[in-house]
Amino acid sequence: MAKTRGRPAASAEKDTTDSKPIATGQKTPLKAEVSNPPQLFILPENLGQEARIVQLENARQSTNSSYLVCPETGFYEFTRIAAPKSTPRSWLLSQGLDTPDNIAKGEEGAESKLVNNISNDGYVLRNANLLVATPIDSLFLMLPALTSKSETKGAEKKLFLSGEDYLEKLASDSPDIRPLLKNESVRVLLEKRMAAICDTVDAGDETMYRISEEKLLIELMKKAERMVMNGLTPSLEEKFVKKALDVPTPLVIVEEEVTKSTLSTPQAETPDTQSTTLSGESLATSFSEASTAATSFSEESSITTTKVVIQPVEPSIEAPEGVADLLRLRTALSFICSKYLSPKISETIKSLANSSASAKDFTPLDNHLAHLAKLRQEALATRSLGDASRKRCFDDEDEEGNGESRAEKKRKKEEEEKRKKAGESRGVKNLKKVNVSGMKKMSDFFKKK
Amino acid sequence: MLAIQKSKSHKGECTPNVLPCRIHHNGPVNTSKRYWSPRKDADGKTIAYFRGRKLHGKAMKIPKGYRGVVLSTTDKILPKPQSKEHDEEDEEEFNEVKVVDEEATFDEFMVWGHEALPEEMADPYVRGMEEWIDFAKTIHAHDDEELDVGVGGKAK
Repeated sequence: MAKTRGRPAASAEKDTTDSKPIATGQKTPLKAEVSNPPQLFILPENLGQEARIVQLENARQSTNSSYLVCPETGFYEFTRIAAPKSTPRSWLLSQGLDTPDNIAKGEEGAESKLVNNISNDGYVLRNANLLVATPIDSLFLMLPALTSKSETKGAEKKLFLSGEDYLEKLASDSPDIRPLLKNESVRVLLEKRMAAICDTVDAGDETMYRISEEKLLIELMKKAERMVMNGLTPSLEEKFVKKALDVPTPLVIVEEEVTKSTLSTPQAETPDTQSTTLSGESLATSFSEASTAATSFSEESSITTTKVVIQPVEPSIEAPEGVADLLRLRTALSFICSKYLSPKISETIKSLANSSASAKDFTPLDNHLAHLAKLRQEALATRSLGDASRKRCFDDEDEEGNGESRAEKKRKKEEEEKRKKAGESRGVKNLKKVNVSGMKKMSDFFKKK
Repeated sequence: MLAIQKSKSHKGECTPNVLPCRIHHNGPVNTSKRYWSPRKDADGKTIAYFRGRKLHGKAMKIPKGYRGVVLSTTDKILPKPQSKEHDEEDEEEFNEVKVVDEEATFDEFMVWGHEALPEEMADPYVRGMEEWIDFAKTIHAHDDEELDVGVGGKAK
């Protein structure tokens, strides 16, 4: 294989021109496709000479994935950024000369530069993938070695093993790392992180390790807290926190209309959330803080007003103190679990996190979520009830539903007429237009005289 | 196992562009000014015309501490490190290290949208740059290393 063809470099292309006549002609429309296109990466800046891309076992998928290991700076995982199939994207690599800034600067001289730029080499890549190397905590890489894969041998799991043994296990699963393990700093880093999630026992001059789910949970909890503190990404926040804590607002809107116009039916069905509508603050109507409805009016209104100040446009998160943060914490934790832990361990961790043994008490969150679920159900029920009552109540008002049925009636009538008309001949139709007033009726002529 | 090395034919800086279309080709092309010339218009927006379509570009800077590179795999094998003392076991298990050539670098790339700027929340490239890199750093930070974001009092 011609090695040099796989590269975008101009000089490399020229090197091969003598062997490939097509590359010489300026008019050649397109050079042949390369079989091994380059890829775009975003790598840490300070990689050492010893840095290697290796295949290691992925704790989540129990298959191998690529990782970047640098003895000086640590471990990195690759994340592929790519557009979904539905949105086609391709890379076009243009030379540095083409950056907008340079162009803005050199606009005047563009004409003269044009000549030079004709032979300018660009590069097209069909798949617009971008691989980003971001740091990964090496404890996730140690996990496969620390947890025995054979579920049947429960006893094996309980055994203490030396750090040496675990590293050996890791190396036998992922042979790529073996040469790197010769490096002292890599070993130290791995053992340190392993120690963080293991029970340890000192056996003579050696420390023995055994994985401890509790310690793993503590470690993950720290991570989750850190994630919450630095803020979840907008997408996570939107999807898992805001949506989950979203109080069913449609309920309130429906109610508002109903309370305005009819006095009898629907009020009885929604006793809980009525309070905010009645509290007199017109702004507050769109938020229904539901948990402590009847008792604490003043508290509620204070909550809503402060939140309104913070986020004037977006619907604010309405929840008792701390619940949102608990949910963020849980979201962060399950994000880590679903990305870096094998399904088996993540099950254990999740149940452990929810149990009483965990450092964080999730019960307020659970209660609130259950409450919201109930509210949502109620909202659904009342909405359909409200619709039904509305139809009965405002039959003559020009409501949306009624307007619709009226339009339908009209349309039906028209259709009928049309059908009738279709049966008539043109002659009959024309005769209908004739003014017959003052004319004798046809039957007159046939009367007995 | 791969090692990254700077290619002898390193091209220096380039500007990758995410085009809002697919080009069924892998390989070098001539990007002459005539066919690809992004420019800034009066409002400071970056625009380009690609086959008569107006594209709006958003420049994504590579975050601090990172750099963009164009890598291509080769068949070259990295010469073994001058071994001091290799025992037999090592010899047989030693994986060959292939060389990956670093062909070019970039410190920003352009994401182009057809007739409109790419949507911030939806575009995977924008989100990857703006969200994921920082988020990943937060996830994988641990107490053994210093954090540049204050985590005071949380560690036990």
